[in-house]
Amino acid sequence: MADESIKQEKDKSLLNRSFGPSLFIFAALAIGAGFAVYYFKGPEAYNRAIDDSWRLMAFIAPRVGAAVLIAAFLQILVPKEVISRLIGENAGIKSVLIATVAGSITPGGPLTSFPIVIALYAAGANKGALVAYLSSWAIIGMQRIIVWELPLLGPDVTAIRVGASVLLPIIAGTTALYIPMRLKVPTPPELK
Amino acid sequence: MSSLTLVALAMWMAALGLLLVGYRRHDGSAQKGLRIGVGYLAVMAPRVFCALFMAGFAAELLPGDIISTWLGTESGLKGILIASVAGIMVPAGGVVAFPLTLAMIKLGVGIPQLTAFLTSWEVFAIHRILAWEIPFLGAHFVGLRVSSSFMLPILAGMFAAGLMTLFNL
Repeated sequence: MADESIKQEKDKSLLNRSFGPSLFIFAALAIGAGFAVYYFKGPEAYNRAIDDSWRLMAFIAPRVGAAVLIAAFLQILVPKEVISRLIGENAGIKSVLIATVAGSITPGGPLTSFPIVIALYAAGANKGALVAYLSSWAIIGMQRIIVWELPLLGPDVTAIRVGASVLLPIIAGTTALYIPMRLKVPTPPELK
Repeated sequence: MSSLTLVALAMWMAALGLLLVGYRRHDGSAQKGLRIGVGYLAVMAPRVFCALFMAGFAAELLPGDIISTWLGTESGLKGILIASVAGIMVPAGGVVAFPLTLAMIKLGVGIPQLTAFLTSWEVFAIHRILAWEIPFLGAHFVGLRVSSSFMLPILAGMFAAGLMTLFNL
């Protein structure tokens, strides 16, 4: 069956992505760091590091399931067309504010966010909105906060960092809006 | 109940709420969401596993005294400036940056300095500019974005210090 083979292809690619070369490099670095600690700092430091890591693991494990579900459903439930229309239609500070909210709830890595910026540009978004969108995605992107920051750094550090950062995309976007620089974005052939 | 348990509970409530919203659409959103979630988990879990050990080892290997002197809570604006420069030099994704940040917390780096470091990495991550931003959006856009964002890490550090003073932390 064609469907079967497509499904198998998908499963294989998931397995490949899960245990791809980047993981082996990462694992090799972790093991190398472990040897370095043992060699330079002695077995006591090594054991302390291992204990710390296991303790943190036990603490993170119950959160990871919720984190990946939130990230996955944000990806499906956020209506991308509505957002790009809103940003394209509005001007000035208002577009910067909408772009900041949109950037924050845009899930996924650079593979999703950069094409969206091009689409926004094509939809008529101004330079302030584009800068605000990308800054917001990078600085206060919900997905990264939920998947990485909250589980690894804990709620206190996360709350202070995010609280200190919510205004930054608006500042950057507003600066971009008034800075005397013109915006030229290379148009990929697919958009024509 | 500790604030940490509350966060875990809130995360699960949010996840289940989103699942319910997806389910009530009756268009396969719930199933699709679950499949993507499992995919994320498969990609994340082994990396988080490595990341935690890397953070543990890094905390032992990094020069703790120097880092806590330069970037401790007492280091103030100077520490924020140093952290902002350090953040630019992390040419990797969250899988490296967050364990590094965790190691820095263990070494006693102040939260304002940490915030400046993370913001700087988020705004200027050199690998992302080279691999994504220039090819997709062009050097012109990078120029505009950097001109309007270069002050953000320092502002973030100062805002964080302000928040901590405000809430007496």
